[in-house]
Amino acid sequence: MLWRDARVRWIGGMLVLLLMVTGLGAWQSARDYGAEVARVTAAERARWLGQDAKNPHSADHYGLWVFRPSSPLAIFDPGTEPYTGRMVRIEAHLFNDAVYRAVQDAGPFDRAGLSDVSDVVGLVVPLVALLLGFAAFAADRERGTLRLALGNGAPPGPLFAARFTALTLVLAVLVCLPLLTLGGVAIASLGTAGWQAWPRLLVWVAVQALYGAVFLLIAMIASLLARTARGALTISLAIWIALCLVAPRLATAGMEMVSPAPSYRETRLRIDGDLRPHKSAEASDARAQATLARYGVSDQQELPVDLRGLIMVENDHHAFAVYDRELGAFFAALAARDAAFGWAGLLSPRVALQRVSEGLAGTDFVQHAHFVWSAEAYRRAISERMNAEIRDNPQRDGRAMLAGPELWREIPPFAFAPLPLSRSLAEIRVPALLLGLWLALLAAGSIPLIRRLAP
Amino acid sequence: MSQSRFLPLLRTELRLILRERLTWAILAALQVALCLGGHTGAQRVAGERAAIAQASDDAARSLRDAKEAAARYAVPRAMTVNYWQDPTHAFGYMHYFLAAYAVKPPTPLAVLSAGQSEIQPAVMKTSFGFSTVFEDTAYELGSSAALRLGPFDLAFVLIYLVPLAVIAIAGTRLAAEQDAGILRLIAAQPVHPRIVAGAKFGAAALILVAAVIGGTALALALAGWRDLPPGWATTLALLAAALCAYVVLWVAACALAASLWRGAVASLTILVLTWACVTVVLPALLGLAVDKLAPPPSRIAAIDASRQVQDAFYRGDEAAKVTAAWLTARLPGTTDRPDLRETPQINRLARDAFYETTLAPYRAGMQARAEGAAAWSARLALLSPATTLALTLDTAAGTDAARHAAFLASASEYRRSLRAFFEPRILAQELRPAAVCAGCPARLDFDAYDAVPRFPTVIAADAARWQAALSALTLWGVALALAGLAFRRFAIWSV
Repeated sequence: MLWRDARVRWIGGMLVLLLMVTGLGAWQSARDYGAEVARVTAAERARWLGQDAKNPHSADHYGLWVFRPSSPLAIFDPGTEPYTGRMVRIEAHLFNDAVYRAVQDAGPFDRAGLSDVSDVVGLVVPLVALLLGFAAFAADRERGTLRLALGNGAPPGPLFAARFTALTLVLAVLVCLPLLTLGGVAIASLGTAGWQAWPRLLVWVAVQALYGAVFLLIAMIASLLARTARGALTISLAIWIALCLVAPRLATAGMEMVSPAPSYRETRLRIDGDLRPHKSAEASDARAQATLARYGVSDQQELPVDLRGLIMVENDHHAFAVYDRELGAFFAALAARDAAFGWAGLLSPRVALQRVSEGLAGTDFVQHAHFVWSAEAYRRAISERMNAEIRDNPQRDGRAMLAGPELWREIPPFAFAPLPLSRSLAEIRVPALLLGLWLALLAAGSIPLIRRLAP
Repeated sequence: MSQSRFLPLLRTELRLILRERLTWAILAALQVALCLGGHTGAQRVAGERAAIAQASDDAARSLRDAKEAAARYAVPRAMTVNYWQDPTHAFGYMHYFLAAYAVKPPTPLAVLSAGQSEIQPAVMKTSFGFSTVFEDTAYELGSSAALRLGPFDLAFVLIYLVPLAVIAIAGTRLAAEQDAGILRLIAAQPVHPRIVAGAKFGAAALILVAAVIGGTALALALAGWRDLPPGWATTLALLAAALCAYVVLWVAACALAASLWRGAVASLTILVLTWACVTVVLPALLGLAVDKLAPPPSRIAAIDASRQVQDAFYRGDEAAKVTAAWLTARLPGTTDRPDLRETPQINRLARDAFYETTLAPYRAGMQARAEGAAAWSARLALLSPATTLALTLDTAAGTDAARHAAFLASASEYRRSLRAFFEPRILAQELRPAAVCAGCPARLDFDAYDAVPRFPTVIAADAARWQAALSALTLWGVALALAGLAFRRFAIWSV
């Protein structure tokens, strides 16, 4: 019956078209990005290995760029990726930011609301569910057919369950089939190493279907409550606006008031403030003198190690400690704030879905922070090796130490291992539970209404 | 339309609408939303001002540090100061001490819209190194969850929620009466449908315009917004005109939907779907169009180019050749000074210039793209009333893409002006080194700290004024066209 309804065909067709167009566009961009990153990563590795003989500290400054690989499910939900850089310059002394965020190159309209598949699911799927479900009982009531059905002994409970199941199946087909198709294409054609892509895809699609079911239930409850189809539609649309448009923005405003974001700028200024006195000319001179005293010599030529290398090791260790303390606290605060945002899922299932979706897609802030710290660990490993080479090979009479390909080859390529799915599931447990809670509460709320169903 | 019948009907409709509880509930909710939007806007502006003040403090601190270090190092003592940490060395000051910032201050109407301010930096520290390819690397790493959902600012309330309030109040006028069968009774009266429709939708428009303009003014006042500098009053008046047009436009859309005589359900469905198309779907399509018309160049390709030039510089004797050529171009008479080519600071200036020249096309391409995207966005924005108003509010708030593109260009120009300030001084010190004193850690005599150029901050009111005028004209044009269409369709009753 439902498939024969022209309204269902039109709505379904538009939804599938929107999902496919958005998804295929994102897939094409992901392919291009992946290919470009692979090419430049290989070129960077070749440049690193092919450096001329030079002082290891110069090589440390020469450095290289590393790039964050995208999860294949980023074509559905890019999550934090557009707002956080995916390219990091690895070089001596500096914990550089991940830079060049996609959003800074986007036009002013790109945040309008339908820029990716997760936006379409977040905004349009609820609308489709509401348009499918609002007339479930209200239209029958208006036409008088509900009186006939109930009069003929049709029990309200099974009647409701049958309609809800039928509509859920229609919605599931409209949502899940295109998503599974797109996901399969992405997994088959994009890099999936370490991403546990299939389990992520299946859970991700199931969550989207669950989200659609929440709104279907809302529409059917509106249909039970309203005396006319007009009333049911008005209630449904008002709820869509409230839950999908207003509540998410209210959540951002509320979060800013309750728990203001820590300031990255201030964190960086504090780091500068900590590092500056340590690297001043006076402090450097004092450390050099202390080192000579520690070894019981008066001239650096008499040291068993290279003074410059030793001081660089000490300086870097000081900087590492400052970075760990300040940026560690900053990233932890931001991750905690994002986690707290999960509780805003109480305001709207869309907010809960966003957190769950990006977590499952592997594009949440925790994955970004993991990438940033992985890149920093790689940078430190390079600096430590280069500094050790200088420290352990003292040069006399002002000669500069030169190293060659043997040393460059000791540095392995940067390899990023994403956090496993189990960790992602742990991160999203609160919003996932809230999404389930929405469904459970709506189902529970519908029971007395079904019992009181009157023509 | 007979004025004698219209005015009493209008008064009656005004009374009826104002007597409805739903009207007051919607207007109260809208007022709360406007006040919340004003509050978040005020918080954001305060944050921007704090960031600019911090940058200013940091610049002052660096200047103070340099002066104090110069004084300390001007006294004979047994201590070694590296040339790159020596404030009396122009190169040392430029690379170690100098903290120069390019800043984009908020405009007097900044509270209206967050626009691009959440994602584009308003404060950029000038960097002379060659580790960054483009200058716009700085950003406030904040909550991506909040960025994705978008801010609850005044622009959001005015662009998205005001039309919904209009639809809620005016969307079922006539259509609800048609559904209830009252329309037949009205049609039986000796009154033209245009007069009835005009009175009903005119009353709704009057109430909504007053509520939106008054509510916005109240929200601004509660957000602590008081003074308006000279030149901005006209912009504000034009903005109010644009906002009125936006409200009237949606009331006219309600009238047009009612004129289809399909009942309240159809009217509401049509209006909400139209709203979704105008505020969500069309802007998304326009975003795609802007990306096609002004495609962003690849940042990764530029990174690759930067690495190629770095690799080339350090390969073989390329560095020596580049430095010699750079030095000859600037100081033609120094061929008898091969020692100059060996100095690390000259070598570094030559390297940076070499790097700059190679990357110039990439940087110009990115700048052209930023300007192109802003220009296309401004043109295409006129295709949707929502984007028209959004662009107007962003421009008035100074958070639009065009202002940011101009800011990036100014920041680049500022960096070049700083280099132009320091380069001749560094070269002069290398040619004729003049020590401060014998036995002092300070090597040379650079002390022009206060003469270092400062970033020229500009807040131009013209762009905001012109955009507001264009927006008001466009929106009034669309509103009148829709009203005209509805007027034509209300020629006869359809009952």
